[in-house]
Amino acid sequence: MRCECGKNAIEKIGNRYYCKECYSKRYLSLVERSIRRYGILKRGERVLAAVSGGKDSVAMIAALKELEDKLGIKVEALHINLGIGEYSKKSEEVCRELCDNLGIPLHVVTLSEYGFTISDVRKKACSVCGNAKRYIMNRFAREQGFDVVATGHCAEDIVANVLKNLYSGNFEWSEKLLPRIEGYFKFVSKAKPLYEIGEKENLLFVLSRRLTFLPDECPKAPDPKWKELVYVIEKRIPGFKKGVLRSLVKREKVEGELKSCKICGEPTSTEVCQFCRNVKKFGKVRKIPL
Amino acid sequence: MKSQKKSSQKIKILFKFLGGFPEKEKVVEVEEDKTYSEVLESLGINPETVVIVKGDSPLPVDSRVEEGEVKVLRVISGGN
Repeated sequence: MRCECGKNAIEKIGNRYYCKECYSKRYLSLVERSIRRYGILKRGERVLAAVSGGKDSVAMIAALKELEDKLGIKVEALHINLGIGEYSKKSEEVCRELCDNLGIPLHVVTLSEYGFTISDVRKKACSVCGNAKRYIMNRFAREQGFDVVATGHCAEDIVANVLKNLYSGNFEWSEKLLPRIEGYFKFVSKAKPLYEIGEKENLLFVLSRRLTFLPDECPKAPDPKWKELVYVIEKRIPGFKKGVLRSLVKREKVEGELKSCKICGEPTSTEVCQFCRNVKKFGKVRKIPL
Repeated sequence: MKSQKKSSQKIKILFKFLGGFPEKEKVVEVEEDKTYSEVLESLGINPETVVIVKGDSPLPVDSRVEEGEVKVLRVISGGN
């Protein structure tokens, strides 16, 4: 299989085959487009990119570094050593090597400095870990003067969480999954530059660019059944992921722009609500004053 | 008249599984006209959830199988 440029192909997308170089170019333009479409990062921002050493965060930080000038941003990396035995040791080594190779300043915070590690947590380790990461990322970014924290959440992570939130009756939590959340109070802005990018695309970019990454799975990681489900649905309904991601943003826009109807005062996303427009269009004798 | 189907030769592939698979490796004997995608499906693996790597280069999953070793990297990672 050959790419249009004549080199050996590594992937087929639609009807086209891509070699490593053409694939990487396509990947970078998708990330850039996604960042611009959703305003994920803004010109002039100092970005703290959280890197675990896994394929997604490695792909994100490498892409951001390559797009630094185009986007007008400055990228530095943060790795949090969570104290999960050999896995954490290897993760830190990978991040040091990667950032060294890419010329990205790396900051490392060790959870044990706060008096515990994730290995000390017997129950709900993932929940404690997630909280620790969010706490440290936010505090470090704010104290060091970063404008935004970028994480390597990919399309499947987000869609799986939307489904989980729907199932558990916590759909309102999904607003935390949006591509960008502006900072407020003591919270620094959060960004997900890979919002629309699939994890397979991330892995292929990492392999194409021969980036250092850790293929090992966290020993405490839960069964990724929700993500597997996303793949099953996508196979039956191609475009499902994109549909969910776009509707999440659309929904937020609608909710975010609510105002009072000029005629009746009821909530609406337009100047005059749909009901008043219908009254005007179809109404004959009005019995209830608007 | 019945059309005669050519019987294709069988070759051996050593699949080395990386990341979250129940087994580490498996030797599979398949007809040489198969694609990796077809072989993965027959092993119960959704080809969209993996990347096939031969040597140090990924391969499109619709590539024809070749004798020898390939790595199967699982793209689905856990965590939250």
